[in-house]
Amino acid sequence: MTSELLGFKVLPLQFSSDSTSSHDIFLKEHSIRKKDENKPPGQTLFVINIPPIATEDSLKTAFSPAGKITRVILDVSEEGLANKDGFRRAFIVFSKRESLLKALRLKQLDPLSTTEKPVKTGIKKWMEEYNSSIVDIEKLQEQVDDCMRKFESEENNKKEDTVDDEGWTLVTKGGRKSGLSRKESVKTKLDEKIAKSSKNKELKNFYTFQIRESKMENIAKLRKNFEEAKKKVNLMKEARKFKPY
Amino acid sequence: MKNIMFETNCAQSCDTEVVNAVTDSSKKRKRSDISNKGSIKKKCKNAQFKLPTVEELNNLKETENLFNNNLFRLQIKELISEVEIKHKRKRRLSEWSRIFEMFLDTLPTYECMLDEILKGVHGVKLIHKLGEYQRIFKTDHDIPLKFCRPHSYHKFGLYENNALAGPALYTNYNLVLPKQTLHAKDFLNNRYLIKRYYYLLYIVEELKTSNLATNLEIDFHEGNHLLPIIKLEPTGCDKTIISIYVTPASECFKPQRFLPTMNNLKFDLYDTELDAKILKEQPTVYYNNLIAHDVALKINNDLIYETLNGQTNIQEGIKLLCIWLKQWDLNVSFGSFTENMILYIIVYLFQKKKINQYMSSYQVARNFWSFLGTTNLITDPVILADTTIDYATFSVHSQDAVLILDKTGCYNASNFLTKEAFGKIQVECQRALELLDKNTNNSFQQLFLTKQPFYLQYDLILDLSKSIPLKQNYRNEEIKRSMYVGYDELFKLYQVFNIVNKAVSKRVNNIVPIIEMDKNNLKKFFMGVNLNPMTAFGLIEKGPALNDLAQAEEFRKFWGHLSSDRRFRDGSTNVAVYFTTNTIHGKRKIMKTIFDYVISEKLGLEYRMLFYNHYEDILLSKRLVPSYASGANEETSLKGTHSLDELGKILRSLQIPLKITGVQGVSDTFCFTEVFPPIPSNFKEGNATSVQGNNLIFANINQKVGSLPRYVQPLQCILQLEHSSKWPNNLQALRGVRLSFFITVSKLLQNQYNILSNIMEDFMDVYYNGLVFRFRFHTPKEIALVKKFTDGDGITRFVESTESQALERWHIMPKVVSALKGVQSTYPSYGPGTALIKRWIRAQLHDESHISDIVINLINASLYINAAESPPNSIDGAFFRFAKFFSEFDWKLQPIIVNFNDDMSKEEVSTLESKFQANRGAYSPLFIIMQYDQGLSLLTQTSPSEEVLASIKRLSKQCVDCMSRVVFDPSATMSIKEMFKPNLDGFNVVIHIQPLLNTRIHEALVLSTITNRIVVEKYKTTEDDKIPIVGFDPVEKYLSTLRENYGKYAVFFHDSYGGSVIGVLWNPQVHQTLDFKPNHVNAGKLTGNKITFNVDAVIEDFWNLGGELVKTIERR
Repeated sequence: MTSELLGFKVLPLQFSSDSTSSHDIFLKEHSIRKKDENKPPGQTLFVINIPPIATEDSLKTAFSPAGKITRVILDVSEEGLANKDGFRRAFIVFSKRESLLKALRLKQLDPLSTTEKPVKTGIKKWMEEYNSSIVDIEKLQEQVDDCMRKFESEENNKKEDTVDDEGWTLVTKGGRKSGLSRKESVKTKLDEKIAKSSKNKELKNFYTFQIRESKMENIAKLRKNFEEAKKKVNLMKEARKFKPY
Repeated sequence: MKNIMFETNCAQSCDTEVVNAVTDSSKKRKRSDISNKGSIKKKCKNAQFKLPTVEELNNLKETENLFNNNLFRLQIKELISEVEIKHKRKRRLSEWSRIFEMFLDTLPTYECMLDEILKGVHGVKLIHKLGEYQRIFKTDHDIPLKFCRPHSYHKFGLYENNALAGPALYTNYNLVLPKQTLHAKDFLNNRYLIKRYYYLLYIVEELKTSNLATNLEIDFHEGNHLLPIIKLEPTGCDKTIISIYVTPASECFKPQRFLPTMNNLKFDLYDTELDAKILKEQPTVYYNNLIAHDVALKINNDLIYETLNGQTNIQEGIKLLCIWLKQWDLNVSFGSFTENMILYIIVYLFQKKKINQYMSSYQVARNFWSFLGTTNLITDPVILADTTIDYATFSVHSQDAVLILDKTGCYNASNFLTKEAFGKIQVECQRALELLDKNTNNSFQQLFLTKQPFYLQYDLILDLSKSIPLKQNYRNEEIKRSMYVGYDELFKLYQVFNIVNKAVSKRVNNIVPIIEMDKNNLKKFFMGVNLNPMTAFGLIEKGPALNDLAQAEEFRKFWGHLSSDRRFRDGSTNVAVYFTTNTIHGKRKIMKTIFDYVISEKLGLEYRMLFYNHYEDILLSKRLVPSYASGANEETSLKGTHSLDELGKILRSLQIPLKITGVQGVSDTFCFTEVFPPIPSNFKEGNATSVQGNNLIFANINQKVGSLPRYVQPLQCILQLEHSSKWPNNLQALRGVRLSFFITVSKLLQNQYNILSNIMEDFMDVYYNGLVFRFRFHTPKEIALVKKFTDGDGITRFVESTESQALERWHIMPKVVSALKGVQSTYPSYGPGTALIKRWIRAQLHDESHISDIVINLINASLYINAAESPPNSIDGAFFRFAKFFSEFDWKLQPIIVNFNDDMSKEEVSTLESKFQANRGAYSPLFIIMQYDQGLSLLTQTSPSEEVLASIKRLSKQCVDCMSRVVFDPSATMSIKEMFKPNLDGFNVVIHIQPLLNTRIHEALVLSTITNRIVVEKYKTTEDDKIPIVGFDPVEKYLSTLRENYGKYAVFFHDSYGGSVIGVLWNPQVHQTLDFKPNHVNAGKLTGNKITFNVDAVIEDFWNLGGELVKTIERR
């Protein structure tokens, strides 16, 4: 069953030859104004509704009848992760345009998992993952050392940069008088400090109006409490909480 | 489970609710806002600062002085208006009263002899009919009876004093017998009671012909079978019940005649077969009090009326107290605390000027509680009489009775209130005060608004109803028995009660008889027991010293074969009972052993022990047990904790540049709430595994998987390091440094102590004492780096993200877990109790992703910390309290407050609360307030959802309903199967797991007795120890794969403890048919031009994703 919708073509995709049902995947030629080296125009096929079980390799297998495939890009979108939706889009880049055209004419795809190239799923996959997570301590040490060496050399490079060829020193925040770091927390702290110091200067109950105001404030506080309590009680009332029995 | 809904707009609806409430409360303000939209803020401020009126000022001041706080005041107001009796109802009653009084005034007169009634020989039809009623009283000789219109009649009771809490209306009539109907000596030998009884019946018969009443019946005053009254529903009034009392005219009998020193029954009129001499001479305490009630009724009611008349606040206070009494089930039993007693005590307090007319209802209630909570009415009685009477006679003759003496000083209103029941009332009063002082959002609700059934207030309930009628068991207690003449059943019951009480008195805080009477017969007999956690689980019941021969012999006789002579460490030799056990579970079982011995063996009675030690079996029935003695989960949890302590010591002693300063456990095992704490064990290469370095790994991956090694749970721990400023400022580098730190530690452990360890990206597994400890550490810098973000202005901001929150969780978890451990050490039932709750929630297929372990721990901890009742002492108790709480839990209004050690001040808590209430929609469905996460409720951000909470609430409700069924219907059961077996009916798809590949299958729920237990051999350190395959749970991996990929389309349910089914529920939205658009083709198939959900393919995906793990998939 192949039909066309908004320029998309529908093809059934099966997991293996034993499968009794199939996903409908929708494909069309990738065309977008923004150029991307990884998705060369004319050679890239845009596919949607790729089931979660499919991997890049297995898609290669599935589309192999069309011709040689350079790479498959499975698009993991933020949205998909947040919604817990594992269905994805894929970009399949063929080495020749003819293959792309052939792909669009295909009536049927190969299954994702074949006996030669099985897709590892389920318990075997997890066992394999477990085994490969156990790493020899020496090897791990090497990896860490590598990584640290890289980091250190980067750091050194940065340091050297501060004095340039002509002997000028770049002034950075790490100097003798480094000034304030530009952090949000520092800024709020400063603001608070200023407010506080201005508050400390004034006398609190010196003028009559101040006393009057503090009284009013007290009443306002009581009122506010009252309003809040009222709100709570109203909520409880709505929930029919006051029916004792 | 069927009804789980996918509500996406619930947050919105919540918001609008809040908004509505706001508009309600400040309509006035709102109006002014509309007229002047430009300056809303200013206006609001003005409204707060406008000049107060005198009335408002007074009101505000009053709240401060007379009530706990605003909220309390408003709640009281609301509650009082809710229980206000409708005007219509009042009006109808007063109309009815007018007609009824006319009826009384026109009653016809009859005269006859008692014998004529009994033999049915009198010619008048009405008198003939009286003979058909059951005969309650016997007397010594024939007496003349006269029936005529009453001398006078009075209304009395709470309603007449305007102190009745509605909505139903109860009121009483007191008909005073004319003097000529009574003889001066009629108080003797039941004569008065007979006259009273037949007068009542005469009224009944007359009423029957009058059309004034429906549902006319003979009832008994406070269940006292010798004090019949008429109960009727007046015609034309709804929800109104009238009780009619008959009393003698005041000058007929002298009240002094009924002091407890007097004998007023000279013959054996109640078939006691007691010695005639004893009968004649011993005081008839209960009989006397009975008549004293009638004699003094009018006097007392007049006093009450005088005192309360016009005192609105006191009347409201009484209403509150009556509601409290009812809600806390304190008046359910025969001989319990009654509303009349509240009246007497309030009058007393008024007399003593402890309450006055200027007090608010809140203060009245508060003073009442504080008085009753601190006054022992046995030694300091309440006496309303003016004359200083000698109450000592009462105490001596009524045997430590609780005394509330009336105006005449001769009637004791609390004659049937036992010392023990009074003790319980005192505890409740103290608790009520505590709740007032705590002044949390909930205290009002707990006091007045929610029903606290009696069976949930005790640690266990003994039900002896099956042994009714109780056997005769007198033995030299004739004199005592003569006191109870007329109440023989009660006497027998107290005997049983006293023996049980004697056996456990040291181990309990209270043991209270709860009795239901049906006329003279016992109907139900319960005992509520609250254990004393300090002594209840003691192994030894120490008796008197051996050389105290008489006492020792008595002790031996009491305890029978359980007792033995023992020498103690201090050299003393005593007779004692020693219970052998070496598990905590065994200690909890001691109570059962004692009851079995005392009730079944010694007294020969049949009994049921409810709500104790029953569901605990769930925690006990395990397929995998350790070689050492163990009961529930305590022993094994303790092993883990000890091993971590030891390992911590080693780690702290390591010579490394950055020292380890501490280790903290974060697994549930460390706060004893883990259902299956890991058992120390040796691991060797097996069929399915092979060795790689120090580790076991899976062998033969490419062949068909036959079986898998069982699940080994890693114990999560956090390392604390010395402070250092040298951590790099780069996330990658920082993590690199951490890895090399792990490597150093790992090498040192291996070389110096021969401890195996294994390093993964984020953590290090250490195999020690047969357990696997998983250590992590996250420096604050790491969290900061993850959060760090520089905005366009060059200002550095720290932004929360899922990753940073996950790290933060690791940061707060150790604090939470150690605080929970503190809860466990204060309340030993907390840990295993939580484990049981967890087991139950998981058994109902809600797993970690629905509601996490730590959230369950915290909810239950909040119940212990904020307990209104005393915290439970048994595992079952913890479970039932949780169910009770959850069945009433309203998460929309109410945050969970877990204030460990009261570290947060009241203000802090209330600020957080009001923040929560003001903006409810912005917070997660469940909101937990505690001191460790700055009011962010970090632990509930992703789960539980509204639907899961609703589902648990529904299940809890069923559980609580089931409890009340079990209490009142002995044939009802509450089997483990019923409560723990999930219902699979509602699911769309059920995935069955291959049991052989389920590595946690040994944790699965066993509903029958286990036959093939596997005992884990004792752990021994050996040379060829290997680190096992840790934390490998394929079902869990499968589930998380499913959830990640299909979470949008379906919800998955699974019992994490070895469950072999996964229930799938489609999201109702998937069934929509959509137009073709690239945005919503996912998981769809093309049908015509539309997209529909591709069910077949998705289910096949489920199959394929599981590989060999899935046995079958069932579509429903």
